[in-house]
Formats: sequence, structure tokens, C-alpha cells
Amino acid sequence: MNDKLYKIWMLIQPGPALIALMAGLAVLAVVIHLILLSTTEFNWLEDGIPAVKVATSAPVVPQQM
Amino acid sequence: MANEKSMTGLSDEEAQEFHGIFTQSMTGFVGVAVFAHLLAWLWRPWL
Repeated sequence: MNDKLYKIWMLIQPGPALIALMAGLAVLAVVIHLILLSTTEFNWLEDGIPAVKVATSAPVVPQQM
Repeated sequence: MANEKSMTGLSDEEAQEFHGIFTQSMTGFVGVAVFAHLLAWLWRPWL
């Protein structure tokens, strides 16, 4: 890498640059996560893993006396 | 000459110091991201 690259910080304000970089990365991450959740193949919340509990389990049977 | 203030007010030394921390942090972030993508690829490859 160019060993004079550090001089970028004499042209660009480090503070605002850090804020902009972090905000940009955060927005990118949120957008990608939302896109993945909107698909069927990559939605990790509604893919049935672990197996979905179906409501047909163990019906309540009144006890005979 | 080297201690002259620049557009951002940082001296040459300050810019170098900030750049060192920035590069290190960025490398760490990218490392974590690469690891996360590796796990995501193992979970469900997308290509």
C-alpha cells in the first residue's frame, strides 16, 4: 500500500469521516439483513429450523374417574 | 516544515498516529466480517 496514505487525514476530517463510515456500514448491514429476511431461502426466522411446533400435539383428554 | 498544520489541522505525526489506529480497527472489523461471511456461507451458500 502507498506509505503516504496516512496523509489522507490531513485532507479529510477524521471525526466526520469515522461517523460517516460507521453510519454507512450500519445502514448497509441493516439493508442486507432486511433483504435476506424478505427472501424464503435466507430467512432464518421463519425457515422452520428448529422444527416448528404444530398445534396438534397431545390433545387434552379429561381424566376418567 | 513537517509540523505545519494541514487542512484538517492535523500535523504529519498526528495523521500517522490516527492512520495507524484506523488501519488496525478497520483490519479487525474486516476480519470479523470475513469470519461472519464464512459462517453464513457454511450455513447456506449463496452462489
